[in-house]
Amino acid sequence: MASGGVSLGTTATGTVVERPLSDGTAEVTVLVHTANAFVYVTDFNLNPLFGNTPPEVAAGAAAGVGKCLLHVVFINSAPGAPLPDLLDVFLSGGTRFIAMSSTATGPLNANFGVSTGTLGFFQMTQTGVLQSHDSGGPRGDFFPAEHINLTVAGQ
Amino acid sequence: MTYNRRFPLGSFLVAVVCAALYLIPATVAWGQSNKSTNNNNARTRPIQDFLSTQTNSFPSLAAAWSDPVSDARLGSTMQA
Repeated sequence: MASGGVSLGTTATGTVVERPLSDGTAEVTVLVHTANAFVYVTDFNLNPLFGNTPPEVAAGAAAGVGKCLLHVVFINSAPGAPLPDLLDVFLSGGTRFIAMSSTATGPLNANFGVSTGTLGFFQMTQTGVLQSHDSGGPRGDFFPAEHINLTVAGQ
Repeated sequence: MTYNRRFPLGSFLVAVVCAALYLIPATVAWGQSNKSTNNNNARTRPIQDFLSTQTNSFPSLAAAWSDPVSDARLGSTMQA
């Protein structure tokens, strides 16, 4: 990890497909599969629920580790142009679709209601159909499918 | 009387057929011109083109891919 000396063996593989559009821009489809990804979960008040923070892991605490698949489609300025940071794409409104799914195992925190260190299982799915110009789906946020499951492993 | 009554109906049917014959290719042409993408010109790019620029969204990935000796980069396999 970047914060010091611990390696989770994280790897990232994927593909980028670029299609020119009639207005001179390009539609870019990115798939990134990350293995041995660092994962931790907090509640809305940032109280830890699962895993540990990077400094804690660097100091020897157990990490939440899993895999993640990111699928994003966005509009770039032109075919062959440098690919932008996703945050900039979001701010510019150029994102057409984004989906992320992830599973991980790691230690649960006492904030979850179990003894700290209990092995937990994490699963998350987020699908955002951002090219829709309608009401944004059942929750009005353009994410018709989204859930986060956090359980004691094996239950 | 019968002839006079049929003639307008026949003319109407001819007009409908002509309109259909015009609208079908016109609609197809409009659909072609309105296509947003051209799949034949799609091409792939290396995944590092994306990973190396995510300095805000995924800083650890971007750092790994901008550092040629990082653990993450050395452990990765790339697909174009």
